[in-house]
Amino acid sequence: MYGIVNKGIEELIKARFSEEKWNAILLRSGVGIDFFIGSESYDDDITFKLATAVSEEMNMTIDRVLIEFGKWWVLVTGREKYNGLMKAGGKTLHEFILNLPNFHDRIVLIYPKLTPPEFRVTNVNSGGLHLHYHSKRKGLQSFVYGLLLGLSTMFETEIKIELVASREWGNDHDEFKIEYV
Amino acid sequence: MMNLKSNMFKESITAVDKEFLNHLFPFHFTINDQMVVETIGPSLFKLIGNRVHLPFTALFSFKRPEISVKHFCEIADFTGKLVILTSNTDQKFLLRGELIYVEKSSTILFCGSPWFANTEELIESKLEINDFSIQDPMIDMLYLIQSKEIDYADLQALLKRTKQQKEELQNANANLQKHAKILANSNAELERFAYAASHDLQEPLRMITSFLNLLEKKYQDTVDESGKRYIEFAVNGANRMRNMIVDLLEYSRAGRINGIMENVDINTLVEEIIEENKSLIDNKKVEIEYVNLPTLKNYRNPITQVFKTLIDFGINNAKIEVTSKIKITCENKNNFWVFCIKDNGKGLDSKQLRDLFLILKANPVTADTELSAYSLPIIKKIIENQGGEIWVKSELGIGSEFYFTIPLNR
Repeated sequence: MYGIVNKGIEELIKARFSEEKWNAILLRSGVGIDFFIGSESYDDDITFKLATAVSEEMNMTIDRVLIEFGKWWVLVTGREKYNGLMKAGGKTLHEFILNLPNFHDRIVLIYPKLTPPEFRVTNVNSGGLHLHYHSKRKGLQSFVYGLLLGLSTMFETEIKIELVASREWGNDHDEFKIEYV
Repeated sequence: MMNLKSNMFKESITAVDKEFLNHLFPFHFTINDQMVVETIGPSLFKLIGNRVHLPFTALFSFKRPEISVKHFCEIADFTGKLVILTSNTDQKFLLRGELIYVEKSSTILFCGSPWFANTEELIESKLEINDFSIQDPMIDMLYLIQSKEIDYADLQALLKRTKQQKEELQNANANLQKHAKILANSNAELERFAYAASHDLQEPLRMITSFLNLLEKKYQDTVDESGKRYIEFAVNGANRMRNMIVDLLEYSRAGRINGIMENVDINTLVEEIIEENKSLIDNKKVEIEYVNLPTLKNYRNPITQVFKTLIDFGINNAKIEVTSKIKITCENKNNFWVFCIKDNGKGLDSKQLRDLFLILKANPVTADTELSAYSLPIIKKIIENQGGEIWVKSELGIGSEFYFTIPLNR
């Protein structure tokens, strides 16, 4: 993954807890890198080691860590680093999610070494939609869940998320049913 | 002045329906031959509002090429080229694209999109990603610019951190040098003290030994057996103390550079040591083997002491029951001479290995030998002062291998 993801985890821990806590997590993870550059490509294993170390250090499940990180990614990393583009992504949560597939596909052009996941939207109606998540990486379903919660906060739109298909259940991708409450 | 490209378009453009044009070029507009804007694409409409039927010059000016146009044919001259237009409306923005002449309807079509240098301009324009055609790379370019800005911020932070670490390293280095100097001074002071103390102690000790000897001679008829034994204990103690003082003196001198550096042939040096210890070697039935040892540029006395001590160690630790062998070899490795002195003697246990080079009152390694307690610490000091290292591998009952290095270029 690109350094921007690892940097996001670092910033979340430093902001929510302390620099000392981050140093302890870094030490526990065994990752010998203390500075991540956003556009540098790092092994996926580093991100998982960091997430695991966070869960151990904070006594949280990995899923909880990924959900928190997903929310942080939208509400802080996205706003701070890609504010203009986030704002241009749509006026409402509905519009933003409809634009998400194109929005995400453009990442390939910026980070050519990255294999970003793909999104697809179906069952669109005024009350909600289905978001399909295709990824080569396993175990990031909770991160997407966190991203949706972050978007819900950003657009001040309450939503109900239901996982209707999952790779863990034998499907070839994850599918989230999103209803506007 | 129509070029080939615009000619290719002129027939086909009339067949393109409005919806298709709006989809592909949502920022398009057309001008008729009266220089009046006839149609505006939906996204341009969002930027400037309904300005249809207004003169082109009321809405736009040419930034590149920098011209002032009054007539339709002047604009037509710039078809098939990159044009940059500035808006003359309240909403300030740039449009970049191409002008296409449509001969049948005698109109000029502008195909292009707004040009933003950063995401802030995009926000100010109130446009959204959906307002751009999917094939338009403007948004991708903004992404790219944004990610480069993030990179720049990261690199700035990295530079700041590197600079800070460099300063910390410089301070630590300065501190280290300061402490190294203090340590060197303290070591030199300690050596001077050990030398002076051991030197000065010899004189009163000689006096004690002499008077004890006199006492023994003069009163040998009057002192009983217990008294004689006490005098003997006192003389032995004084002798042991003298030996310790001599060792201490030698240790404090070890590594000091005396004499001149010369070419020392180690083969000859070993031969001389064997010759000097011939009777002991014969008694202990020790065979010493050495071949092709190098010639070192070194100080003769300290290097002789190193070889003499290690050969003495091998002789003194020889097993009685077998023919003892000492083998001396050397190899050139990573800019160092690596010497090995291997014996098949008694070997050392873990405690002996641990204490081998320590200055102890009674060194367990040399306790039962003719070697002084300080002999191994002394040669360690000599080797380390020359920039080398010494270590040992040993197994009890099997033998020992002493290794030491001497830098190739001294």
